[in-house]
Amino acid sequence: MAISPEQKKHGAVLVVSLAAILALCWLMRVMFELPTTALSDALPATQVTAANPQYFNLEDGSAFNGMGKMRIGDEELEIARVTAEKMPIAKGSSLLANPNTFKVVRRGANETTIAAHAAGDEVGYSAGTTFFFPENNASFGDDVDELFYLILWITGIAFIVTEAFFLFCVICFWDGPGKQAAYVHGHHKFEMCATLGVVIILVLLGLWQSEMWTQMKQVMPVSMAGRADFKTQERLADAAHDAAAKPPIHVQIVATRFKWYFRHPGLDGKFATADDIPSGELFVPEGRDVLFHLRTQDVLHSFFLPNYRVKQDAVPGMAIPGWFRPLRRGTFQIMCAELCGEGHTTMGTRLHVKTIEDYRAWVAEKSAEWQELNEEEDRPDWYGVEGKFWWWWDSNEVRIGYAEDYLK
Amino acid sequence: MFLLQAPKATDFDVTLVPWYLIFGLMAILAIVRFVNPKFFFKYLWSMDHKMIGKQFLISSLLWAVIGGALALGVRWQLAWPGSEVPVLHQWYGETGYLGAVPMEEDEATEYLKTQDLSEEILSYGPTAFVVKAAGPERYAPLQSDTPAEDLGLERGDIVTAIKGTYEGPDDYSEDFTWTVESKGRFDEFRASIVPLEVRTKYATNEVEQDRPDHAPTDDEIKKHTPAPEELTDLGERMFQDAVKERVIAQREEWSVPNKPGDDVVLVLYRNGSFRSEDLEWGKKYEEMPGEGYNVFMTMHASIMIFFVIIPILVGAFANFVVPLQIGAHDMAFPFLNALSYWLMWPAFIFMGVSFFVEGHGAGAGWTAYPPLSHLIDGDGQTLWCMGVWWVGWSSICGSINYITTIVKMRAPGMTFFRMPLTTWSIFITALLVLCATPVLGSAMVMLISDRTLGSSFFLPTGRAVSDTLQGQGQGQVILWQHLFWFYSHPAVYIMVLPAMGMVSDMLASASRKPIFGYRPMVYSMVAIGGLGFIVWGHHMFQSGMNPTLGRTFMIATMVIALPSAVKTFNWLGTIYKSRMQLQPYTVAALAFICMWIVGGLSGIFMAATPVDIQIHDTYAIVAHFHYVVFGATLFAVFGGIYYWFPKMFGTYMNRRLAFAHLIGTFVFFNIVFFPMHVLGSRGMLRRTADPYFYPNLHGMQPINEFMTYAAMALGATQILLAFNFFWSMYKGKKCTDRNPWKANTLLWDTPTPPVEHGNFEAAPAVYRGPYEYSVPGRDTDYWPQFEEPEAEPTPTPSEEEEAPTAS
Repeated sequence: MAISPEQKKHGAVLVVSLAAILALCWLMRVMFELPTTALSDALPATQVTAANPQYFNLEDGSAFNGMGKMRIGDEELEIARVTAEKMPIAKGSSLLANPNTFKVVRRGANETTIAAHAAGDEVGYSAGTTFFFPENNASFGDDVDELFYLILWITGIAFIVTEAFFLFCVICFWDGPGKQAAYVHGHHKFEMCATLGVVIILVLLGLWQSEMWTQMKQVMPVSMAGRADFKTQERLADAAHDAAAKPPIHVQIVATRFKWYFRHPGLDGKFATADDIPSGELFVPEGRDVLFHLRTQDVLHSFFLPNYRVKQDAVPGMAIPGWFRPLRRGTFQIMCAELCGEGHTTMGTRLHVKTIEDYRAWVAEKSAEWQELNEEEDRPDWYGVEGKFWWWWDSNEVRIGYAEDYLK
Repeated sequence: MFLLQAPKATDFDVTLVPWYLIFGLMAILAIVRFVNPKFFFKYLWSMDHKMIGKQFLISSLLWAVIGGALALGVRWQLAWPGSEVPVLHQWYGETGYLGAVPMEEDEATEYLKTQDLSEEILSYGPTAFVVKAAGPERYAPLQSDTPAEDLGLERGDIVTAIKGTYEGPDDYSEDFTWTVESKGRFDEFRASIVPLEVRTKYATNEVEQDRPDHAPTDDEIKKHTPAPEELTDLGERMFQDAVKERVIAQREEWSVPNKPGDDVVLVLYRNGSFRSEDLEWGKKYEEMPGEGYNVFMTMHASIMIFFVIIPILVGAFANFVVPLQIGAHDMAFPFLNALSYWLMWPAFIFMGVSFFVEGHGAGAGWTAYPPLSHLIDGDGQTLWCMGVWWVGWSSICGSINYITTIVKMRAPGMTFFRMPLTTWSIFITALLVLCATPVLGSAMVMLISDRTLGSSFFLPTGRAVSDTLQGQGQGQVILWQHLFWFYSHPAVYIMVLPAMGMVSDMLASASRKPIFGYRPMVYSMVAIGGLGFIVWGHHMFQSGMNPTLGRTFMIATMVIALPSAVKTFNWLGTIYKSRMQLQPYTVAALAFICMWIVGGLSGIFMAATPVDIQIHDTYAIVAHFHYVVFGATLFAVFGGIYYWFPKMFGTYMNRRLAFAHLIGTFVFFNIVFFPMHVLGSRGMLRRTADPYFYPNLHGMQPINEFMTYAAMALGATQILLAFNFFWSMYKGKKCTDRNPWKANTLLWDTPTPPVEHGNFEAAPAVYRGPYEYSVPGRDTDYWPQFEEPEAEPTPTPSEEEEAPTAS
């Protein structure tokens, strides 16, 4: 079968269209280039303390998301978000910047070295960001990211193919002398194949994610034995974070306009007792399941941990359970994702992930402090006094959320 | 008897303003009716479907200007959250943005004294403004106890700034020296800034007394200032709770400096809580961020959805096109048709007036989730509900009419499978509207009842606002979300199905080729219509709904992607081997396809429940629905305007302006909205007045600024359309050709413009399907539905798809 000149031309245009769409995708990738190297790559194996600082050698543009400035000697460097509570820079200069990851935008004559060291027990590294999602720090996060990239591949290929074909048609089939449109009403086989193909892809996608969703949202970590097997757990089984057979850490969360409140059960492991620890930021240990009980006092809020693939609306009248397991210590952002009024944009706080030893020490210390305070005559307002905060939780029973069996 | 009481002269109830305006409008209409009946019956109370369509079109385009201006306000705020939004700040500036207005300390104090702080603001207790600070924006809880006594504070003290000076290199929490920068007695503070009449009202909880003609004397202040234990207000109680004892240390966040000598400041917010802020010298923070921004984004969405997209598609084009395409002389119920337009006017008035009442509009998002939509003060939110309710009536009236017209009034020979796809899409859309809108209407009534009558459909027991238990209870919050999305998800298809139909018509005509797979197109629209009713839960994956249900909705949502994909393939099949005409509507239809692919594919991410956890309520969602509703639907609307304009007004629109408008819109639209996919997946939340409050979003400000410039250009580009539209209406090139685009449907069998009633000069008849273009063996490349067949046999279509035969 001979190939007509027109077919040749069409073939060429098709190739060019494909190349153009691919180039467009590449352009997007470059335009939004943000760090794909995360700090976790450089995370030291041992606990970093003031006495034992850790130095990072950063390559140009290795990680960042944000802004700020750093001064090293006479050289002023632009920095985006610096992790750790305090981050003195080598050579004794100080760093004024924002938390999380950092990037050296411009380097001095010598290799720039940034040191991060610990301030007390607050050491940590906040996550950087991958091209799309913030860096993952949750046990189930890798699965979510995997699913995301799977969908990205599927839709990406669909995008490239359809848009390239579209571009090809747009280039080739304009009116002109001697042009003739085909008189075609459809193609039954093509329709059937397209329909079936799309159906198969979509159903497979649905099946792929179905179990993951259940594990993330519905099956609460009563004990690891009680939970269905789950890829991430296998992956972690040989890791340092051996959470098996360890009971989850319970935390109560109350959202109000426009602030988060957290209550840890204290040493006795029970809520609504004198040694409970209330706090404005959340403290959890690494490598352990955290089972949170989420309520709101007034309007809808949404508990969002960008680095943990956790988002759950807090609904008035319901106590909704949820869980996550931090993989690494650090300081992370907590956000409110549901419009809650004029101060919605300010409703953020921090999640601190400590090592289990630090966490135990923290609980012991705070719990004792609060016990002492609560047994004083003028105990603080939040505890046991009408109209006060945690009293509200303890005296207003609500329907437990959907996963009633999580308490068993 | 309450109802019979005449309102006191002083009781001007602003919620009645819309009713006055509605009665006023009726009066004006009545006057015009008798003074100039010809004008009245031709242009206002017209029963002619074409005129009603034009009425819908023009009023929607005018509303689009307001909606677009609000969108630019949103973009401005996202780009420069600290600055005043031009023009709009006159209304919204004072109710607040996050962001500082540069002001010296003395100046700020003076400013506060001159402000007429409303009672509402004061009810939250005092606001702190004067701050002095430096240091980085870092937060950490101060876990060490710093009792208020150590700072020399007593019950009732007000603190506007506490300075902490960091001294040591390590262990910061121990090494601060805390000093109170400015302090005063609470009552004194208030007395110094509060106008007397407000204070009086405040103290006695009584009706406002006459305004005194002199500044308050000390005696008066003392007289009217309640003792701390008498204070009844929540904000004051909370404030005092917060100040006394060690609550400060336990609940609040303190900023942490990084180097010795840094100052730390606590700012007292109006709800009585403290928050550290990274402030520069002499900046005054507005008392609370976000109110104005929330109104912008709420009203932008509401106006664009309820007043622009839906009326243009289901009101304007459906009205104009459907009877002409099926060969009817008018709609089945002309009076109901006129009513469906004029019922929009109460909605216009309610929404319009809501800008001028307290709060300047609704601020709970277009989804109006209670309890926030219940909690929001001011009449704006109630008026918004009323407005949406009236839109619902208009939609219902319209949909009954379309269904009846399409079922009963088709011309002889116009079988269902000879109907053009625009008509098909309107038919399915009308069914969706008819089934879904009553649910929204009922929900709105329930919400209004919650807001005004004290019922509690959506309010559970045990709610506490500012630590005070609320009375109403026994309701269910998520009920609203189910009711709302039961309407609003079909509404998403209401917003795109007619666009799909219109684009199919334009595309066939533009490419001189039959639609590829006419029946699959119809079936997929039917499938979308049916499945559209069982996927509403995918808006609620994170809502606290049972996750098992979430899985069900996920599967249903995956399935609904199928018909959309089929339609896309068919459009691509249509332009393949076509002969496209270089016309504005061709460009618009092509832009529709191009953008629809992006919007459709990004929807799959949201359908996948685990991924949705991450991108729910972020800008990824914003990008997705703007690609569908702006990128796809609005391009279809633009195309529809360019395509049917000659038939509507008897003139052509300017081609060059049209091309410039379409290409400019395409380019700027993509610059504005494509980055949102990336920003959203990186965690930029939607509906936040100042995303950069979150340290992890700091880096996004520059690109948002860039997007805002593009949004301005996008807005400016629409001036081309507006000018072209109104200029061409009067001065455009006259069109006398019945069939300027050489298209096939019955619409082009009418005179241009069609005769006022009856549309057709002779009763039309239909002999074939609507997309018989480029039929081999014919002189012309089109074969209208209304052209009587000659003796020669119909050519056989080249594929299995059978050519429709006359019945």
